[in-house]
Amino acid sequence: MLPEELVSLMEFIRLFDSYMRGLTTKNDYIELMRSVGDIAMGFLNYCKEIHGDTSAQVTLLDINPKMLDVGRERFNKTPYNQTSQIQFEIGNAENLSTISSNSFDVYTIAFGIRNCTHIDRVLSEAYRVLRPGGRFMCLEFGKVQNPIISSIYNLYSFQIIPVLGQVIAADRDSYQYLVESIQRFPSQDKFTEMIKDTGFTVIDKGWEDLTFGISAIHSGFKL
Amino acid sequence: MEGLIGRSSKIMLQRIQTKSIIKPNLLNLRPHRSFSYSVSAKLINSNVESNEQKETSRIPLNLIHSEILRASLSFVPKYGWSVESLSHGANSLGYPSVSHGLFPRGGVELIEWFLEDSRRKMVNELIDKMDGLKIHQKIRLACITRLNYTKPYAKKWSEALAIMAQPNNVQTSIEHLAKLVDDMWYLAGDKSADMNWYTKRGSLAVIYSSTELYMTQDISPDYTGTFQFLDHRLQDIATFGRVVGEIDTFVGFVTKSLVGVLASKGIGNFDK
Repeated sequence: MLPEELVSLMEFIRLFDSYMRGLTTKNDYIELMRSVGDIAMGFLNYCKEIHGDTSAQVTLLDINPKMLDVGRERFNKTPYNQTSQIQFEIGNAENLSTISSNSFDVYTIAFGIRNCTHIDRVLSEAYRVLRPGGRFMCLEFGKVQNPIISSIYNLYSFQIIPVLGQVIAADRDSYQYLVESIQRFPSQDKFTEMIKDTGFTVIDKGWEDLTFGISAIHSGFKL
Repeated sequence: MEGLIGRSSKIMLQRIQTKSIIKPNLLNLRPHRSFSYSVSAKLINSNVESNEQKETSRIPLNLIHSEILRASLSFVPKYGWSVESLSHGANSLGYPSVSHGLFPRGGVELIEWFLEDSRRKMVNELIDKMDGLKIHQKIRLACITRLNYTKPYAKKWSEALAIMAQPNNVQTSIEHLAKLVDDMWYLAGDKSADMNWYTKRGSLAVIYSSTELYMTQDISPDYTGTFQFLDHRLQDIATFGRVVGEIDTFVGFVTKSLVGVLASKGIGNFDK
């Protein structure tokens, strides 16, 4: 994980906590493509510690079974592996055929949606599986507005990250792909338009920038 | 294609409606004001109805907002003006508790909606009841009607006042109070077009807000103490108004006498 991914993820979890305040009844929650389960773990811990609630259910879904195995190992070390609170599923975010409609309260996807070929299909599947009133949250890289920071960030992205990838992980191509996928992903307001076009209700601006826009949290409600 | 156009215009309509209901034009305070609020509410409702005819499966967004807020009010005595009330309210309608995120500022949005809703209810209730009463009786009736809406939440109202006093929220809370006293005077038939317009509303704002503050700590049965407090304050203002008028007359008398005395001594302007 890149350092900025980590920072953004921590911020996402913190904001996610504030969004999840007021949890009272059983909340079903599906997390995609982050099946190492950072957010899921944080969410379950939050429910248990702050609200004394152990009825929340989390489903972790990924297209890659190896990622799910990593997630399972991680959860085996926690008290949650005995309970039915956490479930793992293999699936394709563009076509969640195993998930019935109107079955989840929250859908999150962190740093995964830019890797999908058809973002609009992912969004419509998210819309389908959410219950009315449910919330869609997406943490993803965005475009930096400030021109100075933007130039520094571009320099860092294109010159430094692939080289670091080569030096540390002997895998320049993956990091080159990463940086290019970030470039290709639509800007925050275009992505918000896509979310609205799917049918989600967007409150206020619809996104919150983290670190000058390097990442952004998008949110929409199914109403 | 038609579906897309229909949907984007519907979304545009929803945004305009949301703007109209949740953030109305608050600077509508001028002496000769046409009675616009109930009229605009009716217009919005008729837009909403035609919306529903186009897509009967989708309830317009501002109605869902209002439903959740209205349902949350019943949880206020237990949970206060907070996100907990909002999520319980959403739950009671069948939405998951995450739906409280529809109100990103939390409890404040509930308070603001409550103020707006109570003001509208007061206006609708009193439109027909004001015949045959004198002005001070009309004001008294308007204050009592409005205070009755706060009664169920009186125990938690001090929390609401504290939230409204926060720097972020002070401006909107002042605007709500201003609109309230403006409506009360309009219902009482005030037609003044001079400084009186401002002094009347200013004094009523002071009376009403002090009475509400009294209500938060009133323990008398059925808040009779609050209504007595209201009567005393209204009498004070009447007395004060009369006293100011009397002082005015007295000063005028003294000045004219002085001018007359000086004139008899040959000092001063004469029109020859």
